[in-house]
Amino acid sequence: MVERAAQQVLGLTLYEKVSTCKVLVVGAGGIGCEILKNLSTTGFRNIFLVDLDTVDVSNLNRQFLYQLHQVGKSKAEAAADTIRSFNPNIQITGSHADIRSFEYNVEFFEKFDIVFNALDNLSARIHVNRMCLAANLPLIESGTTGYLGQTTVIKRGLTECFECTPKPVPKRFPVCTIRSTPSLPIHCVVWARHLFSQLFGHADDESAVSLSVNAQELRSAEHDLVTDLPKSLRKWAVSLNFDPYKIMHKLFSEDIHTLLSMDTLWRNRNPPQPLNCYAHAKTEKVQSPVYENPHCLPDQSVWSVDECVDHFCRSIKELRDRWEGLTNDLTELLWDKDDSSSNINSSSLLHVQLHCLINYINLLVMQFVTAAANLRAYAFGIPASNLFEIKALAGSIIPAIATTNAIIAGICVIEALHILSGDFDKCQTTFLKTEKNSRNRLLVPEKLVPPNPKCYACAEQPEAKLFVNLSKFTLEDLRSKILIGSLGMLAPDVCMGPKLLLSSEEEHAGINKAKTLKEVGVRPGSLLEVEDFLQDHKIRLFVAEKDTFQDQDGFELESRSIDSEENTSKRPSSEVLKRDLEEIEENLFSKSSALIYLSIYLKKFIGAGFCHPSNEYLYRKCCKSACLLGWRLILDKNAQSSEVVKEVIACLEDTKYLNAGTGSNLNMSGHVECDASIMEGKSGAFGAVGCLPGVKNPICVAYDLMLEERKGLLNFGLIPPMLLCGRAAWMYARDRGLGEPCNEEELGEYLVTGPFAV
Amino acid sequence: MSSPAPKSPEQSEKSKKYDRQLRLWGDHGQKVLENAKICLINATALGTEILKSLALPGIGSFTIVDGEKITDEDIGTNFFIESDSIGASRAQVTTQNLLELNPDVRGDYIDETVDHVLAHSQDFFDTFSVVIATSLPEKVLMPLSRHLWEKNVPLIVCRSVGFLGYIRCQIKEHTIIEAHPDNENADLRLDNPWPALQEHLEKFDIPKLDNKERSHVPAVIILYYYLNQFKAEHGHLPKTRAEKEEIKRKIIESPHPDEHGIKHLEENFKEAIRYINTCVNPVKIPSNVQAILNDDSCINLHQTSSSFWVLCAALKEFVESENSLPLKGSLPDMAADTNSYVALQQLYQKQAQNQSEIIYRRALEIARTLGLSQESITETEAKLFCKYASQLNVIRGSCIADEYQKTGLDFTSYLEDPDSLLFHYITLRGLERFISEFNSYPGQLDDHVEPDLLKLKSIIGKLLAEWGCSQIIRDERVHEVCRYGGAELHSISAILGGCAAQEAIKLITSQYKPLNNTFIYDGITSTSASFTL
Repeated sequence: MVERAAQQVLGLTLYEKVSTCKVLVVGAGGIGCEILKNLSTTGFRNIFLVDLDTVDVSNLNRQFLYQLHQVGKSKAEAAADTIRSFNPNIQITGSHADIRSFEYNVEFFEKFDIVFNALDNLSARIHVNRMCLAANLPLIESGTTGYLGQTTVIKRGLTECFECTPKPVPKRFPVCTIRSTPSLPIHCVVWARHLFSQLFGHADDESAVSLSVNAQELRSAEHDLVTDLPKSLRKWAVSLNFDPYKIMHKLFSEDIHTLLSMDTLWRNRNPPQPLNCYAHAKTEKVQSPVYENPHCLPDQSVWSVDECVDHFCRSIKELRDRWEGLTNDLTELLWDKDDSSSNINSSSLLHVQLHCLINYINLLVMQFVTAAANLRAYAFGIPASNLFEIKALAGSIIPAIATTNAIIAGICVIEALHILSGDFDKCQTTFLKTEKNSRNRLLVPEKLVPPNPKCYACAEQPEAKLFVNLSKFTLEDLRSKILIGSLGMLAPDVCMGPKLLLSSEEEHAGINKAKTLKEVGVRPGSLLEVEDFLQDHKIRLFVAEKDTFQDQDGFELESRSIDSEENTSKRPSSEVLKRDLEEIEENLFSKSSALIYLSIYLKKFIGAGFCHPSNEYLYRKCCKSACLLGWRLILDKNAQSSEVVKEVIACLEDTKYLNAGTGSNLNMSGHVECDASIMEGKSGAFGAVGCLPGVKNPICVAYDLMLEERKGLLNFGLIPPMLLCGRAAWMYARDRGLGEPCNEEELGEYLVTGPFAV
Repeated sequence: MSSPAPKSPEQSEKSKKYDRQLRLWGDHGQKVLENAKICLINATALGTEILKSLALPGIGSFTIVDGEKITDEDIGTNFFIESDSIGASRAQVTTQNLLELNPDVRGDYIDETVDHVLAHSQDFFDTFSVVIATSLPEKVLMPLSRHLWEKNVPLIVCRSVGFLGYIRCQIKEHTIIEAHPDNENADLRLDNPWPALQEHLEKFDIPKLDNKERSHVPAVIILYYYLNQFKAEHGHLPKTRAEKEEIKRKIIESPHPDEHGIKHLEENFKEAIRYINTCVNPVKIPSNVQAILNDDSCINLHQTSSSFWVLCAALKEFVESENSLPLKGSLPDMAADTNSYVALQQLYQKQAQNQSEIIYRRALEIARTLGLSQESITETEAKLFCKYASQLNVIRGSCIADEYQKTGLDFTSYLEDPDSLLFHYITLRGLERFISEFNSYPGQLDDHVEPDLLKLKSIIGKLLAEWGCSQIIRDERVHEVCRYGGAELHSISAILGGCAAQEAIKLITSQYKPLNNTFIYDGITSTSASFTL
């Protein structure tokens, strides 16, 4: 009886479930190793492990399933071997693969009972989330940075999914900041990374920040540049045989001069200063620099301009040699995310003997990037950074330690036990903090949040509204920026009615991805049906034109919940129609009663403030016209009762003889501030504004607040505001474009009580 | 092939392996860690989990004290014990397997029980940086705790049983230089600049600058100019919000209008506005630092005083003469041209260097008069000390043995909440006493469950009576503990092991504030809580 302890603590029923359940672990990094160890010692017997990476030296400080002799081997396989050697009873399979590949389809996921996510990248996380939603599997998500950590449980229909709250996208910088006006060290590092890709990498789709493109676009924008830059930086560099000084001269002197010539750029900025790299050349003295602080690791000293030039020359020469030497088998040197040597030409498996070479190349790349980034930083008067810092900036390296991973992985397995014992309500989100918080907790638990009905991923029928410039936005933009970039799909198909616009299969006949949406017949209001078969995920996109987007870079996505008003009115089926009829009847009843109330209410409304008896005729007139308006809305337009009330009150507000809206009395300091509130009896939704200046129809703002409230909770489960006052209300009205807010100077001018027709 | 960078291969490999953690505690933290000596008493699943999380980041060495032989119970829960090692020394097997984790770590073991070691060579434990003990019965814990308290060696006591676990830190005195608070304000000293800074700042007359010059001025100088102007008008620095708003308005109105009459506020001027709220307040001595400077250990130094207290004494003199803490010396990034920024940066750095030099020298003098070794204070330490002077922290805990002997412990306020995790602490304390009295876990033998249950209940009842608590422990809590029969659930041990190792690292590196003093985890409800007992 090897697992007596687990048996005793878990109890026989749970132990039975644990030992027969099938577990999928995605990721064998810091948390993954810990989870595997915990699973194997808590009685789990069937484990499938998927990881794309290979073991690297920098993993060894926390990923204890690996040892030095396994560096360069597949993490999944090495981890499975180690686990098996400690506990031969376990069925564990390690697969060196990308979880996003097609073999891991929904049927594959359905074979499991629980999935653990121990991943480090957003796109794989999103993918696993969708697969688990599709297969209706509980997913245990986890992540750590430094001393901080988090775990949560995701289950379709019961909890928020990974995509229910927007995740901070990896930070992107505006292209022009990177190209022309850097102001932070990170800008220079991003630029240097792109430079590296341009010279030695593959034509990085996203990072087309090549200097040549740069100049072209600048030219087309507004500046008439007379520099003739080579079309491809790499071709140009090859033609020079990568002469470091010529390249540096172009990058850090000529290009800077070009930028300087655009004086509009520098009106409110510090202009850069071109570097004369030749002046720093060939000093030969930096072969063995003396580090001023002996306590400081060599990676952590900041290079001077001389040192940068020296490192630039040496690294570019060596990289050139490598690049030329490797062109046969490896066509390009790839930027390396994690020091790990796995990503060279992702398909080519790495041999251990190659490992040293790769490590050496990584070092060269880092030196090249550091030198280039710092030279640019010196030119732009930005503080230079050391190699250690640049590594963090360039690869977004996250600090990681063994202890945090141990705690988080332990909690993950405890959550799995909750799921298996059927106590799903005991599952929770847990945050690990550095120090205990004010409530005396190192581990801060939070209740699992119910799903967001507007979520793109887990809503019953996800929908979104897409705003683009139809005559600029191409099908390829739709695919890469929207469907893959923003909606996290892998291989989307797009249909508009019966017509197939985009296919996940390569080279589908009759599809030209370079065509704009307009050219393929997409019009404002068109409905695109998008489907990813691998993720078993569908989303409907309603297209709207927004020509304020000048080019294909601009787009906006707005999620729509299926129960929003516009949709209910669109439902065609007969069953729905019946329901609609019932609703209308109900509405009519409530509307007629509303009107009875309305007339009583109007009398009170008008009675507020000072009423001169001689104006009685006017008051009656206003009242009548408002009532008529209300009737018209109900009979002709079949408006909702709350909408009728809003319109009627707005009508009264617009009358300058009444003390509401236009025609309000002044407050003690001589300004007009209005209040309004509205409540819908059926749903109990309520909206109100108080002390609202500068808005013609405060009731419209209150009504809008009410509608927002009816839509349900905001992101992160926040309750939408019900009562807004003063400036906040004014800003809300302005941002929502409600009731013609005027600017602050005009405040109160037209709202002042009108002349009496005495 | 020319060498890519002049660095020793060993250093480079090491900084590579520890890359991710150096980003948290720095080289100096790593150095202390690499010199740390850890003692683990009892290599249970929890114990080895703790050592694992300490061996991976590279502690210097560990020693396992454990007289047990491996049983089949260890094999299921302890990842570092192979299934074929039943009957072997637990200390030996776990030491071997833990050493495989990290070739930089040295480790040895003593195949004796801790009572035996305590009885024969009491000073054995004195040289460790931290002693960690798991599954210790009360009667051994008492003398160990007392002894380590006297020697000022931190002790971490942990236990994991079933779904429950707790960690108790015993720290006599722990001093922290780098507490790593979440938010730090820049230390600019604009309220009271030293002469060199003042001279530099006053060189600039902001309204007379042309557009190009304006965009080059660092925010600090802009802010100083308007602060000075305010001071000239009002006779004091801005204190209220309204006064700060006034400065803000002046800065907003400062740009020269362009050809359309519109004023564009430059980035560096916007920065100056951002600094108004955080960096204009007069620099005061924080109360926690003042308390440390008035501490008895700071005033009455003696031959065994640590470098921290010697530095505090030097700092105290500095504060008394200067009326402020030493300058941090770091200048945040700001939009400005390189030369102006660097000039300013150097001023701050130089002043900070001068001040830390003064404190360092004074500390050396004090050390000499006390007869302490000159090497006990390093310049690096003094620099860090001055840089983080506003965050200094001293933690004084309590002795476990004292707590265990104390009658009339007042838990009443905690126990008002029927779900308080302190109830678990009480059952676990009962468990410890049970083990001391009966030399076995309650429920360990299948046919003893019922009698054990009664015994444990009566022990807990007695404990509560000793403390004068009127509350009773619910029966199901006692049942639950008996049901475990002393078995460890690995995942619970993993969580506790991570937490305990984290605390050990905090204690070793003297960075971040450690737990003071008890942490309880309940895996049934996935909740945790900390108490100071």
